[in-house]
Amino acid sequence: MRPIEDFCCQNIECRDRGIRGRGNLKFEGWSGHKKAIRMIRCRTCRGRFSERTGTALAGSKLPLDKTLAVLDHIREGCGTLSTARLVGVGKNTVTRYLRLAGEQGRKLHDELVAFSPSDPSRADG
Amino acid sequence: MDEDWSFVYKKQAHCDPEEPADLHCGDDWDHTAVDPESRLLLSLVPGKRTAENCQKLVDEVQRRTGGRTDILYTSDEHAPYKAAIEKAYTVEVPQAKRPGPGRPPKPKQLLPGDLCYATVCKTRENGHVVHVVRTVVFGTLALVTDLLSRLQGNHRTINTSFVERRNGTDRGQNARKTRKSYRFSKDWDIHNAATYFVCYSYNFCWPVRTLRVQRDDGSWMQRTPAMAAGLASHVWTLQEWLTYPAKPG
Repeated sequence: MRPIEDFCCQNIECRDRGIRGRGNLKFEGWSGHKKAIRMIRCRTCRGRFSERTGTALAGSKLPLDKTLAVLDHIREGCGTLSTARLVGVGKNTVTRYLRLAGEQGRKLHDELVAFSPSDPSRADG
Repeated sequence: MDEDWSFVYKKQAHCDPEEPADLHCGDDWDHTAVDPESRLLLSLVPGKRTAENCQKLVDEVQRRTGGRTDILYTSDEHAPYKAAIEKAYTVEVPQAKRPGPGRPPKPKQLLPGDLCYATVCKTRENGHVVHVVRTVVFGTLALVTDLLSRLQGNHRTINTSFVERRNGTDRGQNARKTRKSYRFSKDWDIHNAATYFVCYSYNFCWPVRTLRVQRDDGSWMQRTPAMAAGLASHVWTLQEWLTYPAKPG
C-alpha cells in the first residue's frame, strides 16, 4: 500500500493541491464495495477524496485485479478485442481504461521525468 | 530524435484532404527523444509529421533538460529538426552601440557554442545498410567527440540506433503499431492514449536487458530506464504505476 507521502490533495481549489509530502493529508475511513479503498482527508481544505483519485482506477467498478489485467494485456501487446476476450470484459471497457491510463501516464511523465539523466548538478547532489 | 510511424483508421494515401472526417485519420508519427545512455524516453509528441510537432519535441527536451546546452542531438535527416533546434536554443546577444549618430545595432542571434547537432543518413541496398554518412550540423567534430566520450557504454559514434531500438520495443508492446495486422487503431484519441500509456510506463516498468548490472555475488540486477537515470530505485510494477496519483489539473 502506498504511504501517505505519495499522495497530494486533488481538490483544485486547495492551496496545497498537487504538493506531495506536505503533511496536510491523512488516511480517514474506507470506501468501495468491500471497504478496501482508503479515503484521504486534507487538513488544508478539509476536503475528502479517495486514494484512487488522480489515477486510471478512479471510479472503477471492476475489481482491481481485473483492471490491472486489462492494462497488463494491453501493455504486453494484446489488441483490444483479444484483451476483452482474455480478461472477460467488454471491448468498450478496455478502451475506456486505456483512455484513462493514457491521460494518467501523460501527467505522471510530466511530473516524474523532469531532468536530464546526465545532469551534472543532479549527479553531484 | 526519431519518428515512429503508425496509422489510424486508414493509410494516408486513402485520406481525402477535403474531407473533414479524414483530418484525424491516416499517418500518425510519434516524435520521440531518447537519452542513449539510460534509454529514457524524454519526450513524446504524437501527431502528423510536421515542423510544428518537431518544434514541440525540441522545446520539450529543452524544458526537461533544464535548458542545458551541452547536449548532443542526433537524428535522421528530417529537415525541420535543424530549424527547431535553432529556434529553441538561439539566444539574442546585444551589440554595443557604435559611437556617433545612428540606430543602435540589432542584437545578434547566436547558438550556444557547446550545443551539437548531428545527422545520420543511411543508404540501403536490398534492405541492408551499405553506407552511413554522419554530418555535424551544429558544433564541431571535436566537441561531438568530447560529448560522446562522456557517455557511459558503447556510444562512440554518432548514431540513432538507440532511439530506433526503443521504437522497436514500442512496436512490440503496442498492438496498434504492429505492422500488417488488423489491430490498427480506428480512433485518433484512443491511439494516442495507448501510445502515452505504453511509452511512459516503459520508462519505469520495463527492464532493459543491456542496462542490467552485476551484483557482487554474480547475480544480475535488472534496471529500467528510470533506474538508470536515477529517477527510480526499483522496477515498478504496473500496479505501482497505475496507483500513483497524478497531480490535479
